[in-house]
Amino acid sequence: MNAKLRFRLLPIYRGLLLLALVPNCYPLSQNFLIEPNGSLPTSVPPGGSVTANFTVTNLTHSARNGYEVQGLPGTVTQVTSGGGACGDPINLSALASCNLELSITGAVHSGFAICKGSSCTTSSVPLSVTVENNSNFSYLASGTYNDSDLAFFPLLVQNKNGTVTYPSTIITNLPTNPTYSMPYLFATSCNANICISVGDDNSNGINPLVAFSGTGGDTWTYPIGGVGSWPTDFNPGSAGIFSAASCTTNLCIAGGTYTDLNTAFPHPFIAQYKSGSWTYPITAQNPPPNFDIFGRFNNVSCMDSTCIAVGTYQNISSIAFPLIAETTDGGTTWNYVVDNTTTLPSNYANHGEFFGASCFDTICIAGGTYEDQSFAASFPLLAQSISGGPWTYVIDDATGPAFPAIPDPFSLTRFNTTSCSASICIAAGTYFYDLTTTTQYALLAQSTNTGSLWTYAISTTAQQPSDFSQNAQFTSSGCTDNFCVAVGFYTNIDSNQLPMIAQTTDGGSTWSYAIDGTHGPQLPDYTSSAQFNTASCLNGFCMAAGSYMVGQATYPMYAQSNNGGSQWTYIVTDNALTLPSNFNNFGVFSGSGISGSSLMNKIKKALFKK
Amino acid sequence: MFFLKENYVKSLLFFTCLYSSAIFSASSNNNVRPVVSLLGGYASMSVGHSDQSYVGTDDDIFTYQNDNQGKDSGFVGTFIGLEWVPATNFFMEAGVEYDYFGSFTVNGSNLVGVERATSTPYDYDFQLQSQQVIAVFKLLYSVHHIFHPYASVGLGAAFNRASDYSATTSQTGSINITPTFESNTETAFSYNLSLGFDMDVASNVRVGLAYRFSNLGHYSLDDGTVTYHNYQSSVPFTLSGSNIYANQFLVDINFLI
Repeated sequence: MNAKLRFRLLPIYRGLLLLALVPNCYPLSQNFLIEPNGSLPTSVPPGGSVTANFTVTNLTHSARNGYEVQGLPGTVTQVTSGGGACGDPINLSALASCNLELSITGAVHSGFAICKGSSCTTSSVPLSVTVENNSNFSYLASGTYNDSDLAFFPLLVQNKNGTVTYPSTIITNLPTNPTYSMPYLFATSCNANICISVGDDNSNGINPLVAFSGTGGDTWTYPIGGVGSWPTDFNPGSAGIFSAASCTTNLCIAGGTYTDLNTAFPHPFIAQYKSGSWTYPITAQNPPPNFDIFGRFNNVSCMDSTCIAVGTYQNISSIAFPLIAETTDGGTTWNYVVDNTTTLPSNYANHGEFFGASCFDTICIAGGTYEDQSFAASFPLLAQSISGGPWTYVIDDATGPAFPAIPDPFSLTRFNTTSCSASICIAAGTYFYDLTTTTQYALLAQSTNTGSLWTYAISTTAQQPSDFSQNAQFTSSGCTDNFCVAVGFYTNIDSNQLPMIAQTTDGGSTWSYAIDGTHGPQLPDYTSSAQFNTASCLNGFCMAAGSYMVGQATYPMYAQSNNGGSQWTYIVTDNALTLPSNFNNFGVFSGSGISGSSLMNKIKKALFKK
Repeated sequence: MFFLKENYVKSLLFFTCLYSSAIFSASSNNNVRPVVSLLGGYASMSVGHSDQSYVGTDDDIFTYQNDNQGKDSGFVGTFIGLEWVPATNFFMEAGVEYDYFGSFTVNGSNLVGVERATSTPYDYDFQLQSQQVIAVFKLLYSVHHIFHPYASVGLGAAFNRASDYSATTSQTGSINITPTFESNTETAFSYNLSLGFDMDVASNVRVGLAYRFSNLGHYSLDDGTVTYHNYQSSVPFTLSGSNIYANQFLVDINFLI
């Protein structure tokens, strides 16, 4: 025993302590109060992660520095990024607080303590998290296919508990006879058991089409697609298309373009499902400022009560501007927040357009492209808004990371898709090296600190698939916590177009190819033209879908990872058992979504370009 | 200081043995009779009042205050020695005695925290169990030849085992963690003082009653550790006390050989 440590307290203080030791006069307190900040998670998806937040308050009147979280299993790690987050170690001045964020990737039934040597204070409540059973989830992919009579049908596959089905009502409830039409469901999105699948129906013109399911994809109806269901100024027989869909709690939106009766110009428009009914909050009646000739929404994304719709429009001078419409009150009011009246990149000239949109928690991002005055160079364009603040450009010609491999000017450079999770945001697309070559590279930028810093994770030749030759492009993406995928296609050294999935499973620290010519499962009977058009991720699961050719036939294909990217499996291929019974020789998946989550559905959709 | 006390106790043990050897070597004298006694009885065990405060990491203060109320227990022992008659109506006995005391609970209050207002209160307890080996000198007086009031004094060593430490708090929510301590046996100086009387019940058998006070000396738990799941951090102190007291009422039976 170290006798020197005995009775080191000041006499007065010792007296106070002894007073406190009188029975029934004990204080009930602690050096730190460690209380849940919001509700704690109770389950985590297999291969996914959830977050638990605790407020740590130093109750002492002096600084406490150097404390570390102790007592938790390896399935729990401390997240130190973000405003107000506790550091590691935890340092708190007198009476100060911080937010202790814990990322949980597996089962945990344990309390924890923050300790510095022999000074330890426990959390007020333990963590109790079990691994979810995802058997109630439905994985949906949508597109189009034909039968032997060359009639086209909406293609919608449902993978539920490993059983692949094609819900019949997606065809039997079509508002038009498929024999004389060409229905195509470009995008799909779900929140819990509410799903929408949107597209068009080429029947006496191209008409907007929305399928709705309140049963997680089991059964479907078409609230939009028949006469009287479109905007009152829609001109049937002209053109209307929904190219994007997104659902959040009690709210779904579909975005696209349609031609109105009054101007005969294509206008951006939005259909919105809220409180059991469909409305059109944006039509030709409320176009973007200085609208003229043309406009469209290419993508939409919703999170909680915020939704954004992104695209482009032309003004009266035939200059195309990037366009973002936004609601922050659950669809009650919509406003244009990026248009020709807002700040543009310094060398902006024309052809500004957003193709990707993603909102998660406090961040929304939109990715696309624009051209400078030379009208020959196009640049990547990425805008973001934090916590409902103004939209700013974080990647353009003058802002953001420098390309490590390519000098200006770029050519045909664009972000096709964006995705965000709690851990990471990504923007992915493609670029050409310069104007004189035809080599097209896959491009992916990421931010792991909620948009504060963007870097390119995939851009150089070495970061392309190992058998890359040319024509690489990311078309869609998805993120769920630390697991993100960017999907698309590329041409290999044998001049074959192959599908590719790039993924990170560690929140962006490393990227690798889960599927390409040398990784992952290979498509059966593949002969040419394979590509992923869509990706969706939720609760640690990711799916990707597209098409490929076997001889002269085009087959839909759909791959899925149920274990956080460790393994991918093709669910739908040219195997007849995985196809609609009347499938003939053409089918494509363009959209995807996952239903059945008890959590907020945070699915990102991608635009498929026909 | 502690090592000096240890050496002192060992020296005392040595001299106790030496003393015993001397007594038994003296038994060749015809006036000296060997005596073997069995004794046992009730013991009220207590420890000296103690309040202690220690400083741990980051100015965390650990304060302990014990409850020094007597706890019921018992003891048994045996005495081996010699008896002789130094003067008319006086007997003297000298020998070595071994006593085994039943265990008793030491409990108290514990506060853990940087400040009084940020401290978590605990109730703690642990077990104490003592044995002692002492050299005893007993002076008896004869009344009517069969009653023998006596006084005795003993000096020797005690072996005090502190074990089974536990601490509990009624506080819920966030709490400051208090250390636990490992078991430990301390060797300490001890002494006895007793008053009583023996009575002849046969020519070579006496029985008696007595009151005895013992101070069994120092006790201490071993290393203290703050433990939370797989996290452990030792504290630079342990819980200890200077005195174990035993107030005893004993009965004995003495065989004169």
